[in-house]
Amino acid sequence: MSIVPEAVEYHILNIPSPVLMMLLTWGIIISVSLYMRLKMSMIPRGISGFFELIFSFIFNSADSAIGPEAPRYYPLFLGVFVFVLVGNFIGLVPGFSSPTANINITLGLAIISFTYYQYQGVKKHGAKYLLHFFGPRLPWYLTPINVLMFFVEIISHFARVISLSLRLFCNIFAKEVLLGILASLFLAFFLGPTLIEKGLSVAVFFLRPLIILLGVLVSFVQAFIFAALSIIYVAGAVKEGH
Amino acid sequence: MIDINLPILIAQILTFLVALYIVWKIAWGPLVSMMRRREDIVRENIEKSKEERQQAEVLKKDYEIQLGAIREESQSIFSQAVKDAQKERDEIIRTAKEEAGKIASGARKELVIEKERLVKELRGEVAGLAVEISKKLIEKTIDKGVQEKVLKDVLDNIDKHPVN
Repeated sequence: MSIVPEAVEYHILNIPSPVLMMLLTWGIIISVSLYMRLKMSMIPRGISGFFELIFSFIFNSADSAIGPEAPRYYPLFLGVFVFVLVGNFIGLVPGFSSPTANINITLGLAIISFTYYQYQGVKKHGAKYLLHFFGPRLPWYLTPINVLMFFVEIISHFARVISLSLRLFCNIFAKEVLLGILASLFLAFFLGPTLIEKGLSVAVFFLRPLIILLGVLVSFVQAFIFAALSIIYVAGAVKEGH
Repeated sequence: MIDINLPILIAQILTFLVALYIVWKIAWGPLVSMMRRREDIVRENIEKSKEERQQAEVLKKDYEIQLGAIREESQSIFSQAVKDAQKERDEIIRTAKEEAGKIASGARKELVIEKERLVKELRGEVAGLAVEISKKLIEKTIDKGVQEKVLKDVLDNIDKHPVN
């Protein structure tokens, strides 16, 4: 039994539920994208227009942070944003749980983002990229400060992985727990044996729709934060000044 | 719930990379290409319309200059035509007056000639009539010598009083 009361534990081919939800998320993304591909036209309308709206949103953010080189990095930013957004939304459907409510899924995403921006930094600046971890060039007698800065920088970069994954996980997990508890109260209202129990759980009828609305907002905001931070990290790695 | 499960982590990373590659190749990439193509088309159209507008401005100025020249030319042609017409009218009036003058003087001359002719005819007829009357009177009253003298006086008297 999951800690999330609402979520159902699926046992299909012994695949863990988070992986199953992650596969479902990708299945939805690929299916809708294929449908969009069939309906794609030069004049944006319908689902193609909706995709273009999302793409433009991410592209504009990337362009403003990275500059003219941004299109090279579009695929990762789009992938992260769309996956997190759809993954978060899945949890709002009763009977399903967000794959992003599992730390392994969000950590995987954060590792991909971290590895990608480090790789792009090294690719762009070569060995010079590693030198920027030492901070600005100081007189020889302040070398220990440079060494200290190196360790601080390394820690801060690894902390980015933890902060990225934990932020998303905690927000979505909290949403799932809250929705699960409200679902339990919903059941308690109908199945509760006493009138007091029914009376105490009546608030669920207006609380749950509100929390679902809040969940929609949180889902979008968290997807954008994850994508925006990935954009900022890539921008920091590939921009001049290293 | 917060324990790290390595198989799930690896599955997530691999699935993400593979699924992103697939979805980019089959759908997102073509859409992004189309968006860029459309951007290029829009940019080209905007530049083209700017150039066309500039060309149209130049043409408009040319046409305005040409129109001004044509207007001036037409104005001068019109004023020349008015002058010519006035000259022609004056010439026609002058010629007509001359013609009328000629016709009037000719008619006047003919009138004088006719009058003279009529006067002569009348004088002859009057003379003849007077002779006839005198002849008849004289035949009855006086002799032949007196008749002739009287006749002569009458004729002289006629000559002294011409008909106007």
